[in-house]
Amino acid sequence: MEEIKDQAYFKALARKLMFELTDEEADDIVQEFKTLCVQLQLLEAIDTTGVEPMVYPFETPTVYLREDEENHTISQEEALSNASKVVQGHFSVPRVVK
Amino acid sequence: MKYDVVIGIEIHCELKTKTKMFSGAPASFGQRANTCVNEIELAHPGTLPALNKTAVRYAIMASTALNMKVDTLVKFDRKNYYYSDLAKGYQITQQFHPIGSDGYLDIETDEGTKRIRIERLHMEEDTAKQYHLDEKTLIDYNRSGTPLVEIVSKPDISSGKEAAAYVSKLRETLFYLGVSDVKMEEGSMRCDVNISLKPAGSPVYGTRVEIKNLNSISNVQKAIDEEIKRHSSVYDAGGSIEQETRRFDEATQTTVSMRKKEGAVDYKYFPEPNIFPIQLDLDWVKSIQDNLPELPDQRRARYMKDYGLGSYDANVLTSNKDLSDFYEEVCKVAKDGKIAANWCISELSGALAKRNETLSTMKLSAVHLGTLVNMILDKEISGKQAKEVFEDVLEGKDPKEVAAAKGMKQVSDSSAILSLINQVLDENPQSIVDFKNGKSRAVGFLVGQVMKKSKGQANPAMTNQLLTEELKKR
Repeated sequence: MEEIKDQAYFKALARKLMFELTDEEADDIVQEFKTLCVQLQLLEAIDTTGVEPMVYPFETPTVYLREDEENHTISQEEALSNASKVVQGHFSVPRVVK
Repeated sequence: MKYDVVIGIEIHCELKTKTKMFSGAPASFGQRANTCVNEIELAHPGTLPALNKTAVRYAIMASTALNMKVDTLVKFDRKNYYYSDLAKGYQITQQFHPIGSDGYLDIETDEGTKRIRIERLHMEEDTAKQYHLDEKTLIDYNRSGTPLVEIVSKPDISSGKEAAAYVSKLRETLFYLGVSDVKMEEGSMRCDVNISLKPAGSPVYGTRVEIKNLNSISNVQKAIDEEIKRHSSVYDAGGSIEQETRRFDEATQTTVSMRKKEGAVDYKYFPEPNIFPIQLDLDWVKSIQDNLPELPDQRRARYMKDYGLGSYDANVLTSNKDLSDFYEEVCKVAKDGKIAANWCISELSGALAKRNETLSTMKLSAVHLGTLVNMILDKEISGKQAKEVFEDVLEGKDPKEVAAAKGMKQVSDSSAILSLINQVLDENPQSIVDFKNGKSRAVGFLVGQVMKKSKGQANPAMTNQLLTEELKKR
């Protein structure tokens, strides 16, 4: 089981995801995370020797592929309806250069 | 000092499907902003991706043509990064299980054929187009979700020229398959180059530099040649190369730094939870692989075998698929593939270049050009007359009608020519005497007279032969 993460860890993670945590919020998360880790430790009691890890809940692959036919397009007005700022049919956001 | 050059190339190629990779919104180029999207590209809550069957088919075709193994269990992974060019906050790609692996492409170099190994071909989605203005960024999600294949070579390339040969062979192959427009200038095919230099024979690789945004094959070659010069001179002066991303600057014809690499970005890849593994129908995969369109190399070989073309002519024709397709239509009518090839390569290509036109913008019909070739073969008109007729054929006119209207039929009917010859001989008894006295010039004079009587339409070779025979009889 991984070591228990502290406030600084969650604050750094939050910054990477572009938001800030207050000390109080970070502390809440640390506590929640501790509880979660204890709960997960219960699973370690199960013997999984020789069991392949699964990624998906079902073992059988699906077979569906979508036919290449246009089936649903929304209008420019609909597309932009949730945008806080629109310029000439474009979503407008503060300048971002990667 | 002498250096070994190590180059690997990544190609991103948009697939020519009607709809997006994971949604039924249209995949198109040059439409009004944000009109080719639906809730899936815009990442509205509750939406789920559904894989495009044609995109998978195209990826199988490309993998097969590049001699790759095809994985029939299709799996996707999630590449996480927080950037506005994908509304979801991640790209769906195939990090861990590319559909195609372990292939190769043979290129022609000055030292002969060289095999460039291809590590992988995987499917993924394209990103949105962003316009960075002074204070804001405008986003158009039309391109977002367009199906892409990324094709990654092994570092087997060792010069700018080889890189250009590899990219152009790959481009030609994908174009013949019909899976992509491969327009580098419009961005439907994009090329990133990884390059490093090491002392000749050294087992240790040098620092790698990535060159991005190469929008033509000639720029790929120029950028690499420039980069080789830059690395050599830095190393020769005892300096070191920084790991970074550079781009080719068209104006100065050099590479310039875009950004330094600050360690590897952690994309937190994990299996895409919204798409379960998809087992492809094996019969379907086999039928795609067994029915690939003809590839450029196969077409070249066929031209040499069926039409008797030399490798140069076969190469010139097949390197331009439109011209090559047109040539085949001409050959359905023309009785001689070699002469048809000459007309396509020199007269036709020359005329198109001179007029700044393409085959699709001209009214010219392949049947007419084939007919024209046959008219020359059948000696209906002379080669010189054919060139004159060709000017009108280019405008969509029927060569038979043009030749008739210009009254330029070549008379190859022996009885018609004979009758002219006899008229001329009757009118010129002195020339017959001269001929009998060994004056060979008399023949030339008499042929001239026959040509004059026929208004230039008598077949000169036939006239010469028949006239000599007639003279001997008299």
